[in-house]
Amino acid sequence: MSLQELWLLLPVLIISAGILLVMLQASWKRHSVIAQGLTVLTLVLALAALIWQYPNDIKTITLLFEYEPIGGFFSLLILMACISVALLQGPYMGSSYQGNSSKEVAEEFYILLLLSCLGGMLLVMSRHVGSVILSIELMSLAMLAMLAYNRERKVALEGAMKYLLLSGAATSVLLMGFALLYATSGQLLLVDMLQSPMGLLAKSGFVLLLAGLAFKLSLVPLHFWTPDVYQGAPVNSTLLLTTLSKAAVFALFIKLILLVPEDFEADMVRMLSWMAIASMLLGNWLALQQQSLKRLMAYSAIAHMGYVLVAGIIAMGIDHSLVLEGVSYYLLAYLVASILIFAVLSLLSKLDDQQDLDQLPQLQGLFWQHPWLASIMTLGFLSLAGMPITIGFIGKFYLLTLAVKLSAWWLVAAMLVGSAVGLYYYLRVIFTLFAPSKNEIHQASGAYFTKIWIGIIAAGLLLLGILPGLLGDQLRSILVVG
Amino acid sequence: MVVVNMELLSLLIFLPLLCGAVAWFAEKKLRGSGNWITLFSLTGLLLLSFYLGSLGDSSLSWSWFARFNIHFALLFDGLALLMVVLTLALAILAVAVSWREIEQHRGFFHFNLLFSVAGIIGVFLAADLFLFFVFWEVMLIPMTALILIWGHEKRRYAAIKFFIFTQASSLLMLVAIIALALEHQTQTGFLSFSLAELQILGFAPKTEYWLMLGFFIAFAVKLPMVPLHSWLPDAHTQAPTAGSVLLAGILLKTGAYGLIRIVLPLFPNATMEFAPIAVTLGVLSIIYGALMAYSQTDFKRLVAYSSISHMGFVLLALFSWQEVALQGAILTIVAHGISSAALFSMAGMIQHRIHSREIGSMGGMWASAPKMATITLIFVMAGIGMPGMANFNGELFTLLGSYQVFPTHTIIAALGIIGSAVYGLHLFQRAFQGPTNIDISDLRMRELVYTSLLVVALFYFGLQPHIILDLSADTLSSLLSIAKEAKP
Repeated sequence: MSLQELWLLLPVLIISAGILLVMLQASWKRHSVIAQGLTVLTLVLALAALIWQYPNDIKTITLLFEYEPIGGFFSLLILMACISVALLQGPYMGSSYQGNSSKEVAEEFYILLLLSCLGGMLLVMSRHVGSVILSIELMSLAMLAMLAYNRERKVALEGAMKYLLLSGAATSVLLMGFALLYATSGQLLLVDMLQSPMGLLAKSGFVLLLAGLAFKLSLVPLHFWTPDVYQGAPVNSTLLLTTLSKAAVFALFIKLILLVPEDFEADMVRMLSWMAIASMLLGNWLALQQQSLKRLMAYSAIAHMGYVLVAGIIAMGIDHSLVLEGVSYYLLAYLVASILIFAVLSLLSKLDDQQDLDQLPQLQGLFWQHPWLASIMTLGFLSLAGMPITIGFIGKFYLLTLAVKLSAWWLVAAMLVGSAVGLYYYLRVIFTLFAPSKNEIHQASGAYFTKIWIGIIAAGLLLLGILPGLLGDQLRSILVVG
Repeated sequence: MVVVNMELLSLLIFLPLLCGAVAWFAEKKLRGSGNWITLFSLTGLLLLSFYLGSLGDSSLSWSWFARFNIHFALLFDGLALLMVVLTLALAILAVAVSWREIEQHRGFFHFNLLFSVAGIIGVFLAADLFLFFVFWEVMLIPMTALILIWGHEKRRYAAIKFFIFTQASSLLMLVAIIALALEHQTQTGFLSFSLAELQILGFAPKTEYWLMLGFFIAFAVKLPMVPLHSWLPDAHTQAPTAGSVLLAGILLKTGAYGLIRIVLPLFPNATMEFAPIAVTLGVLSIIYGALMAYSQTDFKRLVAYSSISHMGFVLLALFSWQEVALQGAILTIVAHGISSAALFSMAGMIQHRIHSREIGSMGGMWASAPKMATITLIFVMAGIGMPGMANFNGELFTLLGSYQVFPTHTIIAALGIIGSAVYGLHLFQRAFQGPTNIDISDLRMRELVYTSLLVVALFYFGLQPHIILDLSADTLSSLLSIAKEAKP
């Protein structure tokens, strides 16, 4: 490994160093604020390093990793999600300044967060089976511990157990897929593996591989774990699950899709189209009557992954540049909206409570008590619903443009029906926020940095919705080599 | 095209937003200031639009989203001026009727009011379909908030229904817009969302038909046309008075405006092919609206159904593609805007006094409130289409024009006018005449001022319809020339 390659790994190295640092700090003197500060600092430094040497062409780093624009952009998304979680965790656990710090230890959460972030960033850089497996497991295992972080909540433990078992099963499916592909091609590099001629065995291997990833993306019919895990986990862990792991896995997913050999495309399009349509319809349909916001967000995640999958399907057809732009914009929009919604829930909840604030009636009248929080949540839901002047609309516009361009009318129809159904439950939440208030809702006091950060993200949601050109005009040069 | 006022044009959209925010914060500091700020800013905007109108047509185009060749493009011509003035005038009426009616969250109310005005003006000015769509959707949000927060007993249901109906239908329009832009790309090599550039496209008949349907459904829901109307009675009835005034007065007109601006000029062949169906549905709306109006016992609901009936005339007129009929459509748009807003504000005043909209709980109110009764009678007469008042011209022109193309439909539509006389007089008779059922305080000075202004407007446009026709003449003549080319 040359010095230059090390240099390219700088963001990842910074995070690794941060992990060691927080570990040392925890063993030397436990202090949640210092741990949080170190974590945020690490993540911001990694973000700065990434932006500073943003990749504009493909460079391989050893056999395992490559440094290229798509991975770079998804790393940005991952870091944005991780910074949000790191900032939200402080008020959620109760700041130690106020003397009411949590019963759970604080530092380990930050270590796990950084580990998970590391896994995600390595995953989007992977070009080799070994690195894919390692980084996906690093991400998932760290996530697992975070899902069960409050050991006194039974639902959290139940959710984590479900995630452990099912995620383990999915990983073995993934491994099986890789094994079959390796058996037929004899290659371990993703590119070589998929470009060698595919027999039936290799094809089934590829399908298994995609199934493993579809589990992580909670696409129908591999979505069953999602609502329980989302509802059980502490809200910040749910946020991480819905942002980091979705973004990272989708980056890998789209890379694999772009490598599908031509003679296999028609079958893949058919299979993935069904998955996308089923996810969009079922996700939105099941979300309709949810009273729990986390469950609602789980089903909404299923639906939104269905929408992005549409772009993935189209990627096999045409114009790679526009597809990549569409996927990136849509995922960015989805992440931003999810971060805002979960951030508000997180600011209204406490880790030590048996339950997070999660039931819809508990939120009634939030706007009249905490207008800013409610406005931010409203913006988040409007964006998920794809209303104009939010970033979600632009994302939807990209995807619809792609689908119409390819004349994929079935997909368009499913998207339209899904969005129309989706409107109802997003609107239901928004209406609850604006209903006359019933009971007093307490929000985390202080936490100004967190609130400023959330404010910045909310402003970004509006800005990129009102002036989509700011990012949209640049995306092609950000994502596509040459 | 005038260069100086380019930036001024965008103020018509941005100023209401700004003033809305100011009104919101001012109301927090000083109770009652929001009313005045809203009133002054609307009056200022009205003057601004007159000034812009006096300079002739103007337009503006800023690059907005270069990746898709989308522009922030506005066009301000005679028809747009007409609609903007109507919007602002009715918004002033909305402020006036809610001067004391709103008790909770008054600042936020004014913000929403001005926000929806900005959205509606945007719809009338947009010359780029993407921008049009953005405004089309954005105006829904504050309107839904108006219904949801300040509405009556079943407001939640009404607001959700209103939002979902209009949103879901406009998704079809979004797909049609995108397909249209992509069609432009296949024909000319680059994407375009500009209305002017899209007009030069020629389509395969089937494509044109589908695209037209995408737009038509969105506009028909807004208009509303039977059978896509069911959101309207709920939304109008549950909305606060100001909301009903804006909804009936202007929001419905955005549907008609969309048909005039987009559907007719872009897809002339498809609309002609589709005309028999559209006209039938229009006539159905007229008759169905009139029958339903007759059977209502709720004052606002009755007016709401009468709106469906009247907008049916617009649909009938537009799809018969005759000069006289198109003029009739424009006249009906303006006249119905004023008269339905007037009736809704009257319903609001009555409801504020007796806390009920049930006509059964009214009766004999003439005795205690003669001024209110007289003015209501004038409004009802205008709605019926009494000669000399604005609505008469619109309906007469519509029937005259469309008779040349669809005689049977027109004859049935004419029955709708009789229907409107029946339900209008029935309403007046039950509410104001007969044995005295309830005592009610008469109109106050403030109420008398704005209702008399409405009366004057109804008579003025009834006797001087040419002002409206002159303003919209350019748009209509270009439509007619398109029609001539399209007809074999």
